[in-house]
Amino acid sequence: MSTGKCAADRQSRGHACRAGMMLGLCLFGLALPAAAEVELRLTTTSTLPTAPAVVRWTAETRADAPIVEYRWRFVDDAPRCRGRSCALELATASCRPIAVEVTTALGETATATAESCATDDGHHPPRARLDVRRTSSGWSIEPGDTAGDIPVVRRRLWIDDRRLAVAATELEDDGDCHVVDLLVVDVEGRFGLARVGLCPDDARPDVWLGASPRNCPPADQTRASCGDATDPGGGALIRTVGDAPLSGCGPEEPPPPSLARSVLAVRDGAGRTSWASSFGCGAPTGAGAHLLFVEPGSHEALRVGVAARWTVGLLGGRPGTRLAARLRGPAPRTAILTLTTSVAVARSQGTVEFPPLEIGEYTLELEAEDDDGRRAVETVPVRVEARPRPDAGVLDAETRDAGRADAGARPPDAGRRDAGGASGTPSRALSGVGCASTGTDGLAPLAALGLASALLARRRRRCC
Amino acid sequence: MVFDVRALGPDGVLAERAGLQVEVPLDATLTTTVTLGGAPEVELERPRAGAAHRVDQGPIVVSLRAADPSRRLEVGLTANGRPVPIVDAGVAWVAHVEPTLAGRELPATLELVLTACADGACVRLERQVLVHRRLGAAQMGRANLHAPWLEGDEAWLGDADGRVWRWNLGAPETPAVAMAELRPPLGPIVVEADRAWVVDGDGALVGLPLASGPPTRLALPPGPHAGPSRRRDPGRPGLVLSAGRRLLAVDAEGRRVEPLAELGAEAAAAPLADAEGVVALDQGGGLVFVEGAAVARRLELGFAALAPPARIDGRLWVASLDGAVWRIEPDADPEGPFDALEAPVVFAPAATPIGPVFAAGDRVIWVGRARVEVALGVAITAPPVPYPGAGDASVLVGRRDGRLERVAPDAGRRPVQALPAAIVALVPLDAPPRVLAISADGRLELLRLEDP
Repeated sequence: MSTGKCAADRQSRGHACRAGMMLGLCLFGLALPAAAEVELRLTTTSTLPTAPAVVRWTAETRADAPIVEYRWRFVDDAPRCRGRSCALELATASCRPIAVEVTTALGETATATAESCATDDGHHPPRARLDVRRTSSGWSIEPGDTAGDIPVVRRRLWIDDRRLAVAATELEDDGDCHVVDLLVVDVEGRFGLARVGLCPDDARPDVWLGASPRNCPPADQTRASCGDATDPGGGALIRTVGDAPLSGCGPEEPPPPSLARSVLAVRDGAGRTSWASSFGCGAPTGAGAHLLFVEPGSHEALRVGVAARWTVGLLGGRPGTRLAARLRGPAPRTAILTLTTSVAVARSQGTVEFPPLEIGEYTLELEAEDDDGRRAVETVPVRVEARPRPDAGVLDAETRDAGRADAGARPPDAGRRDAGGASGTPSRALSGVGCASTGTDGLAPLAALGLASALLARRRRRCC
Repeated sequence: MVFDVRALGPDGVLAERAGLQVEVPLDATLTTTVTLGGAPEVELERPRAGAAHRVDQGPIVVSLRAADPSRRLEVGLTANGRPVPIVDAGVAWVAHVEPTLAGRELPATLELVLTACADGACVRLERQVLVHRRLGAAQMGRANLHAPWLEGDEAWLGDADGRVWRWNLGAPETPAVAMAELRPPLGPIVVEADRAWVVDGDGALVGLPLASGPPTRLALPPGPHAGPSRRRDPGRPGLVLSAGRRLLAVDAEGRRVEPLAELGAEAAAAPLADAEGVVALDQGGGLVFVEGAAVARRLELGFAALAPPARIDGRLWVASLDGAVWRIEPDADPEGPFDALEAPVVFAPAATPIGPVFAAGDRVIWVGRARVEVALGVAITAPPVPYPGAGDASVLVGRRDGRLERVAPDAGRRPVQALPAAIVALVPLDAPPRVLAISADGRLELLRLEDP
């Protein structure tokens, strides 16, 4: 496997064209510059440890000139390592990216990238991949993933502070430095992360976001958000997004209730912005290192005055995971309607029952927790629409289904490539949905949830 | 009172409107003073971001263009805070910033600030222009890792291809002259008596005459070699260097080699030679102090080292490859590291009034009376040197991206010059303040610095 990274990624800038290669599963990356003056190898002695594991990574260099800097990238745990005296021991669960850039006293640079991975409960985690290509106007980004031992059922793609549909994406070179993250999760809560930084040149602010003592401390401990920002031009920087300090760490706080992405953006005097991102979580205090995710899936709008049932996916955690649901709204009223729904939790799904609701926009807050301290929080917009016209036969069928206690609404389309609407945009009404939009490509992962065959049968009955 | 990016939406709710910042008098009501037209869209065509300008190129041209020609713009320009006249052509604006400002030469950095306003909403565009203050430039082959030797007005340098160059800094408009072509890699060049001395890739100490005559060659014991350094002991002129684990003295004529001491490992760098004697540091952290012709002291610090030792305020400062800084008193062995820099240290420190200053990674770190650390965001590839003539703690450093920067412990940073490749060596020159900067691609630039 090879990941050519010339000119694509902020970590790959410099005087020579560099290529990062990763051999084996997660063993090492090797960078060979065009001029072959610097050879950099990123190695670990832990081939594929069992999570949670602390993996020691070593950068080995062959160069004619002395090394003046090893700069570790994507290392979220503070302190950021700038020098090779920094013992780079990574707390590893599932798969996370790692990169190191080396600079010699002659200004030559090379970058090596790798993934730090660990198995969990004997299973391999999924791995995320971001292939980046420089184009005439910016960058072309192709997200991808490789399943571990079980299918990937959740994918999330972000650029800076925006969440996007998980699909090939063009990013315009607007003069800023951007950060791209891809998260993939399997049914049992193992995850893979990929990250690239995209930057036109070295003159932009250098910004880092992480946490101390680590991004994912045990759920019953605390951590502090940390940031570091430097302007190569020597000017002052202004924080434009995020609340981490620009130099140092903030107060100790409980870790985020679920795996959460945070960003930090700074702007220099010339108006150029650089972004950094970081994932934080509370690591489970019990057995296993996988996390817990709530996958709400895509659901149709509710009908006014009609009770409905949604099935939501629970990825990871352990049996007996508790799921709570609260409904807020409707907007724009300030009054908050809160209700705890009837929830039935099986190994990998929960059911949320909606009472008859009035028309409007609501927010459904889903919060899951298990006895090992794993937590997951997800918010989903819920739209309650007017009753359909009598001649809308398909809608009648959906309404009937939604009203039946045993049918439920559409279960989570957890395996489908994210259309960006899972937690951001309410789904279209069923009148706009045909077979094409609910194709079978998204159904395979649902087999792991035990839902695919029933759903497929239902869709065939309705649409085809 | 400033409202940022918000204005009243049609539903009476504060709605986000990106890019608009409106200043409203405290006694005004929001609905009557907020302009929803938005700031004008303009393009600052020149200078480009990160631009550099040579003082001999004439005025710096500033040009601005409006995206929407139908909007009437009011445009203002300042250069380092001083207003500059700007020619209004309706949709485009042009200004010429002269190389002199108020009768004085431009400073090293010019901050241009353009404001363009339409309907009361303004945008502010800033550009920083580096003003090249080059007195002269020359080209040699790719640089090696050794600092040039300055002898009077002349700089002696070796390049990675084995050529020895001589450049007259008194007449920097003249090109550098290749004096010899030897087998690479070359060691550092020093001038002693009437010759420039260098160890070539064959392991010979070559003496190149400053005036005329044939070069001399002295075969050295097997290497690797480090040095030579010029001995500063008045009673013992000549050179000192290491070959393998042996520390050797060479007479001023380059004819005789005498052993001085045995090192614990191969030398980390050229020996330090000053009026107090010779100090050799080996790659295992072993130190040998030679006074006169005898070993006066040995220390085993037990670390990997590449940076040459430096004597500052009578103390010896040594740094390990892993960033540990050791301070060695003349009459007491250190009990442990003085500081930890958490980055490879491969350069000797520079002396400042507040103590030694190291470069480690992208940081400049003063470790003397007070510990101060300034991060540059880009790796430092040339060891720090004191800012010529300043007498303060500020230093010049060369960066991987080719920029030369003045850094002060109060975190003050001033860009000085941009070279086409990583700066690998700096030589400060006083009265007037100048610096010789050498980039990895073999570019030599003699720069006039701002008066401190």
